[in-house]
Amino acid sequence: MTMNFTTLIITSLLLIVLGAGVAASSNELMRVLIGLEMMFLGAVMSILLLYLQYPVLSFAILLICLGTAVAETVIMIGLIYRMVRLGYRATTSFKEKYTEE
Amino acid sequence: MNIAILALMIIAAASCAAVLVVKDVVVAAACLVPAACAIAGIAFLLSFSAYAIVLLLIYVGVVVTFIIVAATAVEKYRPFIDRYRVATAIVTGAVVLLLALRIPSSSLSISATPSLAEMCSAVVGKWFYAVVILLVFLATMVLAVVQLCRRGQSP
Repeated sequence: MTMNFTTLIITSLLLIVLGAGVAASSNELMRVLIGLEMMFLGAVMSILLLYLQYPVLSFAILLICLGTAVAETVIMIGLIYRMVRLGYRATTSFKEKYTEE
Repeated sequence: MNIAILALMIIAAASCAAVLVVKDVVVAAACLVPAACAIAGIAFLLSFSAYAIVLLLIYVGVVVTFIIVAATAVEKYRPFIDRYRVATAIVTGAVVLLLALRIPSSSLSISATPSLAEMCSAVVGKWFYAVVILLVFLATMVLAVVQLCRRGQSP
């Protein structure tokens, strides 16, 4: 199981780094949201390890994480709807839009 | 069990890495679903609380909703949206139903937080709970089909 734990830590760190990279390097709203979701998945994976030692604490952290992720997704979905209503395309990159204007 | 956890970790990492490669935004968003499901699977294998696993699956539902919104924002996917809604209703209903039937009430719960199945079975009984879930699933399906028929499209 020790190898599994190490792999879990490495995988969760990898997911967080990948997500941060996607969120930082992309200039589309959708891709930023995808990056944030990937970071959240990495955080949840790291909570799985904590569960074996402190189940109640990890459950509380998971609740907070899920609440944050769902709130973030709902806000972003609201933004995307607003952008589409205003005539923007959510997949249009900011650079492209500014060039159009 | 070790191999299963490793396989699920590989699935999660690979589907997240696919986000970097895939150019289509909707497909990239769809790559998050297997990753979230794999993490829920790892939680299941590590005997995480059933309540937490249900929450993770609800999160998968949020991701699916996000994909639908993303597809709405992209013109080329608009014709497929209605069909996708029906598929979402089927998948979500099936997952919840399986969850209700398969999660054992005692083995997955931790002392401070009782599992969802335990709480429900304490109130009304396991089978009644499963039947209610089935009815909700069927109602969602019927609503989706009615909505499609109103718009004059075939499901």
